[in-house]
Amino acid sequence: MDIKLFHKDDGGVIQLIELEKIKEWSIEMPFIFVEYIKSNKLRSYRDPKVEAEVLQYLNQILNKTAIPKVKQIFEGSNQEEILSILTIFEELSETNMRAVIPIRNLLENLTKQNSKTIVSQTRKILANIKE
Amino acid sequence: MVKTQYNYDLKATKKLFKEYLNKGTEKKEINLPENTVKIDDLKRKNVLERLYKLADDVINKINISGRPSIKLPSRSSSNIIWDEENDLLLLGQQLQEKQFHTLTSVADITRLMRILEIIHELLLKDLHATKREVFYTDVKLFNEQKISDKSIEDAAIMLYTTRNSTHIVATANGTCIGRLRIRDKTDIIDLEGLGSGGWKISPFLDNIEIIESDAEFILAIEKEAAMMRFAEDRFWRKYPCILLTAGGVGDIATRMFLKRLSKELNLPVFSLVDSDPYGHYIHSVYLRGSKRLSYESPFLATPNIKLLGVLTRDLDAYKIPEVARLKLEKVDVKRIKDLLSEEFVKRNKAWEEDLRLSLKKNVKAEIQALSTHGFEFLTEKYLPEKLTTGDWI
Repeated sequence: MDIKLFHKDDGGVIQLIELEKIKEWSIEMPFIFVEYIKSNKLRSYRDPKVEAEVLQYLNQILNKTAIPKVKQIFEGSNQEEILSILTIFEELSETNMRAVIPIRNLLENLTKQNSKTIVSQTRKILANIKE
Repeated sequence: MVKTQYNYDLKATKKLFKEYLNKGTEKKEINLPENTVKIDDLKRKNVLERLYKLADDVINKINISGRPSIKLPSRSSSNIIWDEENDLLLLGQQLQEKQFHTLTSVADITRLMRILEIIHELLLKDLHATKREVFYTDVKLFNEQKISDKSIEDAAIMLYTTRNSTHIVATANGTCIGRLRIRDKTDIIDLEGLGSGGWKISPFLDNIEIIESDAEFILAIEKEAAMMRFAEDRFWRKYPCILLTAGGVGDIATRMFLKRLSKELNLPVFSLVDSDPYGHYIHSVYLRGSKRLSYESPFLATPNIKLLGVLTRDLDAYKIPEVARLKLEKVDVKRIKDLLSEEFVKRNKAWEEDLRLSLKKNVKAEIQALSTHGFEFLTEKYLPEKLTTGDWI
């Protein structure tokens, strides 16, 4: 199945891309997707039950695939890879800061790193997503 | 003047959507007959693997015999098979062999190898090129675009993959609008939020992914003019749908995108075409694919598409005045007779009857003929009524 279904009380159906497909996406894309649906679509469904189910699904995307992928890289020893991911999230935080909020804790942990470059880049992102 | 307010619940369409949703969760893959060629829609990495294997085979033949050749499925009309069960035109298993060392095939082989080289470069760089661009990479060799086009199709079939998978694309003419959200790499596109113009269907469909929709049906419209009417009325807001047009016969990207929408979202698909044989032909190309690209039919055809209108019988049912009707021309009569001789029409009695009625009454009409009852008649009465009653073929 490529699509996950949510049935509304009025007979309507909401179809969202399946988690398995999302797992193949680039590292930042699941965050962009989750933020997009939360901010732009959720309320338009006009069905509290479906809104809650979709929200639960979005959290599942974050917790099962999006955040663990970032965590694995940030907790790894490949500094070059960490920096390249930080560059991606820095760009994203400038245009779509809410999409980056789910990795705030991971970013805060990164500020304890020894590498000055990593710490400085991380602080830039944290400044961008400061609410 | 008091405007008539119509209210339709689209009962028949919703019922069909539910059936498709239930069926769709059970069966997704089409089982092709054994005597046909199976083509795969592949990722970049997999096309490259097939390309390297093909090159290795040729090198092996050179090492063993010094006289290499390649075999590929024949695309001649005798090798095109109609798969009755899936209602698709497919390619049979007849093979043709091209020798590297004979005078008759050396030019053909050289062009084919050049195309494979171009495909290799495109895949490695993750770029796409149009057929026209490919022609201009080596004008001396290809001479005419139709020759490079043929080599491109041969290369795709030789790799047993769709042409889109080779990253060589045709320019796309289609537009799409309505209750749909897609992803193009890291951009999310909301097809409800693009004004009246909609989204121009990308020929780079491997970059496109359907991410969200609350549509309940799809409408494939023959003409831009009719599409504009729907867009101006924001038809999808009242009736949850996705609208799509190719402005005539569906090009590859439009047909492939329609196929993906229908397959992935399990939505009923309807066509709205002129009430003439050319309109019926456009519907048939969406339905079962074209003969030229029969090898790609499973990725291009939408076998469950319904012909919603404008049917010949609608002209009386909706009281289209005589002045808005046209007489059939010689070419129309020939086209109707050609369609009537096709197996897929013979099998669909209602379709056959409607074509015969057109012949009997010597009549055809454009979609716009419906506007004799007012500009909003198409979107506020004709379409919703037919979608509610299930008056389609």
